[in-house]
Amino acid sequence: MSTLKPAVSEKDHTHGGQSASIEIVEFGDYQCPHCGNAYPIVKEIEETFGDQIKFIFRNFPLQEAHPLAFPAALAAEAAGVQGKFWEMHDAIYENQYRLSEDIFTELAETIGLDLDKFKEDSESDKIQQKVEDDFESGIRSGVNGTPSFYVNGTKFDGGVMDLYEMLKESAE
Amino acid sequence: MWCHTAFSGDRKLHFPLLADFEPKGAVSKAYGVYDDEVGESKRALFVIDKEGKIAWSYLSPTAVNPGADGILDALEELSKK
Repeated sequence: MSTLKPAVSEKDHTHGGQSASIEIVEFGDYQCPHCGNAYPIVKEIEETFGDQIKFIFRNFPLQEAHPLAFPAALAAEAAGVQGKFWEMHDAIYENQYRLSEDIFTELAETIGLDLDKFKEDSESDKIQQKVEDDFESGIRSGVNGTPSFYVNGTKFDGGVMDLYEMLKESAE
Repeated sequence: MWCHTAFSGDRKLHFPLLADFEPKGAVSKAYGVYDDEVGESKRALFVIDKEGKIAWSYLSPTAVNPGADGILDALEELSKK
């Protein structure tokens, strides 16, 4: 049984109920089509369960297969420095069909970031380290594809629809 | 094996793959993970130490891709010895 390592901490980006009894961690790749398909369903899960769920996203960019996954992860983390991680996360997935090297500046402008600061943070060692730490956490936690989900620290063997079903059943 | 070459190319693998084709499944059988019913190797992981002994192994359920966490934990255990 694979477990989440390290546990969720203040370094993570969280969404939803901070003291929720269900904690879901997604390891995702911004260029992975399965993650793109899972994105609206994750949104629906968040809307359905609201504060009952605490949702966390960790980066798992498969750089060999997806050359834009790492730059995308950097962009989201850099937006996080300005308190807009989730806005960038959502904007990237919503524009996944037209990802390009130039799109991140455009998205940064759309969500209202300070562009000079965004550029500086995107290139910083600290942000790069964060993405690499997330990736290593995924490897150590037994991520075997993206997206991979962990529920309360234990790997969930199934896709996002299975996750949704499981949550609905446990809520009944 | 052309399909292995194609797979390696697509997934950008940096290590050789063993076809284990002739005699079919000989290596898989030697490790005790050959599935006679379907005629292919099961999904299993082995960590072999420097003496050539199996230090750790894991047999994954059919169709479940095992992650790399078990391998890394096993390697850490090895380096402690």
